[in-house]
Amino acid sequence: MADKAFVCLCLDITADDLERAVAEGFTDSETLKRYTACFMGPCQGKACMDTVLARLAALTGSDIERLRRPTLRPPAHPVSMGLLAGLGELDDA
Amino acid sequence: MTPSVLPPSPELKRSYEVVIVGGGVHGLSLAYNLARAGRSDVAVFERSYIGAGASGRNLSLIRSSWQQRAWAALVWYARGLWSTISVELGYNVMFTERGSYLCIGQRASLPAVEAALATQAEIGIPTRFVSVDELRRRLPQLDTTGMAGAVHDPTAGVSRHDALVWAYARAAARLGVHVHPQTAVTGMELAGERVARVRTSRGDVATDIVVNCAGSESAEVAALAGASVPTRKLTLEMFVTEPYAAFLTPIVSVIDDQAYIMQTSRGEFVGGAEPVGHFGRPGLATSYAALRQSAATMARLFPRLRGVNVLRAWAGLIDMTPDGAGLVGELEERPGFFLDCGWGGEGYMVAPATGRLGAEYLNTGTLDERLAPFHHSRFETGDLLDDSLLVVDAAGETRG
Repeated sequence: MADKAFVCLCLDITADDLERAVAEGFTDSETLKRYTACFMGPCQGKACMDTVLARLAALTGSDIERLRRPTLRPPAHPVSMGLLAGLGELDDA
Repeated sequence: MTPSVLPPSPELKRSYEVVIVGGGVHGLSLAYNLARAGRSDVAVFERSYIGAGASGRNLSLIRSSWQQRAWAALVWYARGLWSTISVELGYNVMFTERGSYLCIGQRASLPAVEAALATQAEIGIPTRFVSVDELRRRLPQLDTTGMAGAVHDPTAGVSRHDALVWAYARAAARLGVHVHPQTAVTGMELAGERVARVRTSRGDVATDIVVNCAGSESAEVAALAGASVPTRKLTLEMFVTEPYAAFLTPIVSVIDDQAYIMQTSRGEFVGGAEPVGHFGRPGLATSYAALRQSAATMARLFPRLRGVNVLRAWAGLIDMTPDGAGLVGELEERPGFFLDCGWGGEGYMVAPATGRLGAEYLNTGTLDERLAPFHHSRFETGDLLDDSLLVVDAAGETRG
């Protein structure tokens, strides 16, 4: 795979970054998430989780179906604090 | 090739001198410090990935602005260790001194705050009281309505909590400790009053000493040994926003709202505001009620944050004692069974200290004066550590 192949478009994580993380011992999907910050950008993993887990499975020789999928947390899409608080948006915010 | 950061799970030995239950910052710090003192026949059992519990779910705040001398002295000692911890462990945990403001309203009285500041000054902690006028000048972002002032701790800081977990695991493994993730402790076999064997999901091991560092599972782990600890499991919920330009350097806590917030070096706001008197069933699911409460509180305290987008909420479980302070010491009815649990929402900041002093205690039998006040016997002697400068006063729930 090309060295600059991006697997996470939110945070610019490349295939090389994943390979390095796995070599450093982050072979669990949960620790890989915390180390690389994949699934922590604005898409929250919705765009990249399958790609990242497929790369992790390939790098560790494990079955992708057996990899733990990190929990998707609400809100499903970014929501402003003002909206959540029922205060509406600030014009200048 | 050996992974350079996280150690691979080693083969399970048939026996270990010390078994530590719980692979969070407390268990791993204790394991590292035991090995550092020359005692490396140690196993750490973690039922999930290391740092899966509260260690990787907290604000990562370290502040020394406590009312109780015991709390202030222990955190101040920890704060000294925090200054050089990245160098000591050979791994950058990104400790950053930011300063903190602990905002005082109605729940903590001003005489109590003055007494707390005097205690902190005696210990050498450079905290000071900031009037509400000065608070407005220093933190123009903050709506100070209802506040009487704040305690400023210029030495408070944040760090990268996952990195601390990895740094301890890496350093401990390099000194010979066996760190076993994905290995659940399922039972304990007694011989007389002592625990003789620990059953795990990967096999049984014989041991002389068991240390309960299981965080929110500490009551369940004690029960496996036929013992009990006065901890109660509570959920705290937090949020993180999209990254924004630098807006808030210090960490801000507001006692009356049980609220806390900081901005990470990457720009995200991380914080939470606990609904007073409502904690629900302990679990890792998040609730709309808590997210709305946090958002409403933050939007009131920091009006400029109304337009900031929340990315994600999550929950963490803490083990809370009746006075909100941690538990150390050996259980009388179970010789060889030690506690390092019950640290509630403050476990992260003290972990470098409890590991260092806990290892010394296990090796010499001497409980350092900074750890001694947290001995579990305080619930018999009555020397309780309730602290009115605790931001998330979940202990208040049990005090009634």
